[in-house]
Parts: sequence; C-alpha cells; structure tokens
Amino acid sequence: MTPAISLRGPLTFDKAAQLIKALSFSRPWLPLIAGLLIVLGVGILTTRTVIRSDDDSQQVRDSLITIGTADALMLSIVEMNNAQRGYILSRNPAFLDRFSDESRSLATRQAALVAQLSADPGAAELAEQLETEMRARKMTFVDIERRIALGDISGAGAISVAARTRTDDVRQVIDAIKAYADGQLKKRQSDASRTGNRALVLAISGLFSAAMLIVIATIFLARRSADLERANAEVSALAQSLERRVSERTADLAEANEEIQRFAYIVSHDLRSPLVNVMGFTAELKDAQEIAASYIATLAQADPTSVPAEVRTAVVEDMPEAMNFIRAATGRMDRLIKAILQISREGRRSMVVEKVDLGALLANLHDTLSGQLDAVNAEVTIAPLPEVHSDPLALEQVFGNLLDNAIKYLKPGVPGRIAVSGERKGGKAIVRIKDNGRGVAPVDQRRIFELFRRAGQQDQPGEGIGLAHVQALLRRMGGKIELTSALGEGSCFTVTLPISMSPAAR
Amino acid sequence: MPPTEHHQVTILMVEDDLGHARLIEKNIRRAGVMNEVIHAVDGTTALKHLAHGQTLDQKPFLVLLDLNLPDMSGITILEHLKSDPHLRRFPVIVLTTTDDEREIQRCYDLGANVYITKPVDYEAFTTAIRQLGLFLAVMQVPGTDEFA
Repeated sequence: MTPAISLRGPLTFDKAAQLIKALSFSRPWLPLIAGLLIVLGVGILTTRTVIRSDDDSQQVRDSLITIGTADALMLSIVEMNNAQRGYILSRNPAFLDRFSDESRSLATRQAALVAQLSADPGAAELAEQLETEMRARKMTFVDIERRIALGDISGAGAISVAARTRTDDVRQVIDAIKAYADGQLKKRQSDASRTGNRALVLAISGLFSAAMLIVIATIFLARRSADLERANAEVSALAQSLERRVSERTADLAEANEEIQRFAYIVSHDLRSPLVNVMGFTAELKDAQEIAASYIATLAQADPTSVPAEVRTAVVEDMPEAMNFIRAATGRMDRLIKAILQISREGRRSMVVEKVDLGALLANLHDTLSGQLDAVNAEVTIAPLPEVHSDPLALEQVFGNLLDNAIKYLKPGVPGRIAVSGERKGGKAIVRIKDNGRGVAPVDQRRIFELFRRAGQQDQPGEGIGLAHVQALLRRMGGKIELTSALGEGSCFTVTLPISMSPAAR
Repeated sequence: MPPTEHHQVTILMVEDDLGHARLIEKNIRRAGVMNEVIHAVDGTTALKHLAHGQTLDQKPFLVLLDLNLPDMSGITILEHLKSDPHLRRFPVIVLTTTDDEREIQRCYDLGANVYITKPVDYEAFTTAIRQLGLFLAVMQVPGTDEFA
C-alpha cells in the first residue's frame, strides 16, 4: 500500500510531506510516537528550566546576601569608629562597651563576607583586597585602643581623625564588592529571564507540534480503522458466499448422487428386460432341442445308421452344452443386476434413527446363523456391546454380512472361532469382528470393498457385493469399516459408528 | 377359437418387447387359454384398440399391461382405463419388470386388479404366466351390456 518514494536528491517539502503520508499510512502509530516523544522532550526541558531557575534564584539570593553583608560590615566599621570617637570626646565608658560589641560583630560579618567572596572565583581578588584593607583599618582601631588604655586621649584622637582615610580605603573595597555583586545579580537575572523565555517558546512550539502529530495520527488511525471495517465486511461477505457455495455444492452432490442411484435403478431394470428374452427363448430352445433329441433317439433305436453322427452330436451334445453356458451366464448376469438394484434401492431408502442395542442385534443374528455355524463347526462369542442411535435395518445388514463372511471364509479343517467385541470411544461406537479364518492378502485388502470384487479361493457362492454394500451403508450412517488381516491367520473387521447418527444423514 | 358368445373376452396385451409378448402368448396358450390375443406394442395403439373395442364391437377386454412403454408410461393407460366409466370394469393385470414397492402400490391404488413382476428366472416366469392363464380361464369379465 505504501507508494514508492525516491529519497534521492534534495529533500523538498513535497517529498517530506509524501514521506510522512506514506509512513503515516503504513504505520499510523509513527506520528503518535513522535508526538509522545516531543511531549516527553518538553517535559524534560521544563524540568531542567525549573531546576536552572532555582539555581539562578539561589545565586541571586547569594548576591543580595553579599551586598547586605558588605553594607553591614561597613556599618560595623563606622559604628566602631563612632564609639571610639564618642569615648575620646566624652570619656563615657558606655562607648567602650559599644566598641567591643561592634568589634565582635565586625569579626563575624567580615568572616561571612570573605567566605561568600571566596566561593566565587571571580571575587577572590576582592576578598584579598578586603582582608588587606580590613587588617590595616583594624590595626588603627587597636592602636587607638592602646592609646586610650595608656591615657593618651589626645594621641588617640589624632590617630582617630587620621584613620578616616583607612575607613575610606575599606569603603572603596566594599563599594567594589557591592558593584561586583550587583553586576552578578543583574547578569543572573537576565540569564534567568532568557532561559525562561526560551523554555516557554520551546514548550509552546513542542506542544503545538505534538498536538498536530497526534491529530494526524488520529486521522490516519480513523482512516485505517475505516479500511479495516471495509475489509472485514468484505471478508464476512466472502465467507457468506463461500458458505452458500458449499451448500450449493452439497446440494449438487446430493442431486448427482440421487441421479446415480436413479441411473443404476433404470439401467438395471432395462437390462432385465432383454435378459428375460435371452432366458425365455433359451428355455424354448431347450424344449425344442429335447423334442429333437428324443426323436433322434427313437430314430437311432430303429436304425442306428439313419442318423448321421454329426447331427447326433450337434443335437444331443453341442446344443445342450451351448444352452448350459448361456443359462450360466444369464444366471450370473441376473444376480449382478439384482445386486445393483438392491444397492440402488438401499441408497434410496430413507434411514431412520432409533435406539439400537448392538448386543441384542448381534445375538439375534447369531441365532439365525446357528444352523450354518453347526454345519461348518464354528462358534461365535459376543462380548458386551454399546448402544447406538442409528438405522436398525442397515446395522442388521452390516453385521449380518460381516458375520456371514466370517462363517463363509473359515479355514477348512480348523474349528471356526469368531469373536465380536466392542467399546465406546469419544462419540463413536467401535465393534470388532475377529475370526481365525483364511484371512485376506494385503494386495486384496482394499479391493474386497469394491463392488463385484472378491479375493482368495473362489469356493463359496457370492457376487462380491456384501462388503461394498456394508461400506456404502456405513458411509451413509456416518461410520466406516477397516480391515486388518494376515493371509492364513484370520481377519479383523473394525466398524466405527457414531453413537448418535446425525439426522442429516439419509 | 373365434368368439362365439358376446361376452367372450379378448386379451389386450400391451407389451413393447416382442420377445416378452411371444413368451407370454406361448405360455398362456400352454395353460389352455384360447381367447383372442391382441398385441399392442405401444401405448397409442393400445388406447386405439380400447376406443375401437368400446365403440364398435362392444367387446370386453382383459388388459395385460406392461409399464415400460416407448411412448407413454403404462400408468397413463391405467389411469385412462380407470377414469373411463365404460372401461373401468375391464380387469387389468400389470405384468412388468418393475418390482419397486411404491410402483406396485401406485398401480393398485389406481385400480389394477393384479400386479405380477416378470421373473427373470425362466421357470418362475413360465410358472407365473401359466398360473395367470389358469386365472384367466376361470375369471369372469363383466360384459359391456351389463353396464351399457
């Protein structure tokens, strides 16, 4: 279904569209997966942006803290300076207390600021400068403190005034630090806003293209499901037409079968008609020949030379011989025609389904055959057999024929042992008729089920109809017959029948 | 033996097979039946004879009927016979090769008096025909004047 696309040459928009269409058609889930991947990408990007902006605001906070700490440090220096000057002017010891308080907070604030600056490699130099200037300014404080302790108030005052330049140096460094921190702050703020904007644009365009892809996928999926539905409808229509054709064929077959039956019936009837003539006029001939023969006998008695030898031979020997052959042949033909008629009539008979106790049926057959059994010195044993629902008349013919065969084809001089056994297996009844008779050679084992075919020594009357008839009947009942046999050792005919004959079989 | 009495029965043998016809005639003669036998080889001829006999000679018939005829089924002749008020009393003996039970039943339903299946076995055939002859010899066929 995928149209062939040449991917050679520059990828134009048309080609790309064609490719997408082809891919979407053969694999409608592709755009869907692409959409999902884009949504995933947008999610990852957003998460990263959030983490990054968190980072940025942390840095912004750090910069603000740096600025605050720098201001506080400056304030501490100014406060300390004021406290010393206050004491020099007023000699109020409260100023000394204030000085030592501020001096402690100065140490903390300076340590904090240095720590913050040292964390940023760009501010290391500033930290160093701060330390240097602070050391110089603190030395001045210490110098003044010492002079105050020695009582040299005026000296302390002079140094304190001179210390202003030191304070200015510190302020310069502090200002530089603040400027640096402020610069960092602005830079980070603009970075954060740029990152945020880019993330927003990416998220919007990503979500938009994902939405487009999902829409495309949905359209193709819908189209494909419509195609599938159409194909399904086609398949079910085909299946229906197939079913119809099968039933038509079945009807045709049934009709053909019926026609064959009818044909067999008509043919056998029409064959009988000329046969009546052949037999009838043969009999007339025989009457005429008998008259001629008795006349010749009378003549010969009176005068043996009055009848030529060839006339006598023709009338007394050749004619009866010919007629005997004609009678034998017509007799056989008559039996064959009768057999065809019987089979065709059986085929036309509609079967009935009744409960049949196979054990009772076989026992009945056994009784009717007892005379025959005694005559050939044979016995039949019947093991318990299942019950079936089938046509009783057909079953009687099947098992009657099989038992009859078993009795007919025993081994001369060996007492016949015929064993009937059976079982239920699945929905089938299986009946085995096993004998110790003469058996059937492997080459004949299929042939004997064919019409008018017999096997082995032809010392028993029969036209080769029984087994063909049995097989035809079993087929109609939905069953089958199998033979296992070894020549000279006996045969076992296995009949398989449905426990319940389908009423459709007729 | 020419018919001397008006109710002397004529046998109308409807049989397309000349051999069968000859065998039947021979054997009923052997049984001593000397009635006139008219042989019709097809249904049309048989119907013509029946119509002729009915209108001119007023002769009663005994019909020996084969069912397999070249131009029509013997059943049609049987139906014709039994639906005609003048012909319906003529006895009909169906003598045919068909031994299908439904066919036999149908013939009796239509009013056939006797149904005989032609045996292929010749002895049985001649026996059947001779018995038929004896049967014919004693059978009383109503004359046309009785219902004219």
